[in-house]
Amino acid sequence: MYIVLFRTIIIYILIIICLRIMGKRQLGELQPSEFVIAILISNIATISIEDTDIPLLSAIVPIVTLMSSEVLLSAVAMKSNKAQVVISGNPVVIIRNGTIDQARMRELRFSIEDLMSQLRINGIFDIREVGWAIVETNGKLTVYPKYYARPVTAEMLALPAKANENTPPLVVISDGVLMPETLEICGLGQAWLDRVLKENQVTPEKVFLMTCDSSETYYLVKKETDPKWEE
Amino acid sequence: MGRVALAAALLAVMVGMSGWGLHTLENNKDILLSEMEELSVLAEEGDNKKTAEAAAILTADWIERHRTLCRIVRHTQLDQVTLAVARLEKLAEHGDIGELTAEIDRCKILLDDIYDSELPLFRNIV
Repeated sequence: MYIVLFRTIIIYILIIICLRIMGKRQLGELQPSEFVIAILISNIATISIEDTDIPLLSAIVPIVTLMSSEVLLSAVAMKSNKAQVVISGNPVVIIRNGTIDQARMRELRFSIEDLMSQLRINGIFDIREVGWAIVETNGKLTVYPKYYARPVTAEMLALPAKANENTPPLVVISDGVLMPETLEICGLGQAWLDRVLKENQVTPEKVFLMTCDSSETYYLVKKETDPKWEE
Repeated sequence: MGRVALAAALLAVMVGMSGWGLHTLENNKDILLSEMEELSVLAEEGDNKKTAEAAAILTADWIERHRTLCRIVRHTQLDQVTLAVARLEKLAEHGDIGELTAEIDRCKILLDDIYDSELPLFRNIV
C-alpha cells in the first residue's frame, strides 16, 4: 500500500508541475489539443498509480513528453496562423447579419437545441436579437447582439467618466492579512489605510475583508465577532 | 519564452532518459547473456559442482540487476526471467543437464525478447 501511496503523491506533484508549466490557458476553456492532453494525462496517471507492475518512469516519460509537446505546439501555433488553424481549427460563423447559416450548422453537427441553449447561456432568449453568432474553437458560442438588443453603455448615454473609473476594487485586507501590493497598485499609502482603519475604529487583524480602488473608495467588512458593517 | 525553453529542455531530458533506459537494458542483457553462455558451457562439460556455483552466482547477479531493470521494464516481464533463473542452481546441483540448458535457453530468449521489445523500431511502436 505504501507503494501506491508514494506513487500517487509523486504523480500528483508531477501533474501539478506539468499544469503549472502548461499555464493558466490549460485550466480554463480547453482547445481540442488541450482536451486530448488532459484526457491522456489523466489516463496515464490513473494506470500508473493503480498498476504497480509498471515502472513509474513509464508514466513520468509520457506525461512530461505530452506536457512539453503541448507547450511547444502552442508556441508554434502562436507564431504561425496556419499552425494555429491546423491545431485548433477556425471559429465558425453560424449566424451572420441575423441569418442562420444552416449548412455551417450541419457541418458542425450543431442542432437547433444546441444553438438555443447556447443563446440562453449568453442571456438571449429571442433569436431575432442575434446579429452574429460564432462557434469558437473550444466549442463555446459567442454572440454579438443586434444594435437594439445590446446592453446600454455609459458611452451610449454620454455619461462623463470619473477619474480612475477603470480601476477595479482590489482586496487590501483579507481575513486580517494586509496585502501591501494592493496599496501600491492603487497608488494609496499606508497613511491612507491607517486613517481609514482609525475612522472605522478597527485594526487590520479584525478586518474580514477590505477592498479599495485608486479613487480611495473602499468597502470594509469586520470579522464576525463584531458583525456591524461599515463603509 | 521561459516556459517554452523549459518544455524543450524537459523533452530533451525525456529523450535522454529513454536512451539511458535502453542503454542500461542493453548492458545488463549483454552481461547476463554472457554469464548464461558460460553456464551452458560448464553444464555441457558435466562438472555439476562448478555449474551449481556458477548458477548461484548468476542468480545473485540477476537479483542485483533486477533492482535496476525494474525501473525501466514491466515487472511481469522480469518476473518470468526470475522464475527461470531461480531454478538453475538446483537443476545444476541435481545434474539435470537437459532441463538446465533448456532453462538457460529460456532465460536467454526472455532477455532478448525484453530488449527487443524496448527497441525504438517501427514494429514495436505500431
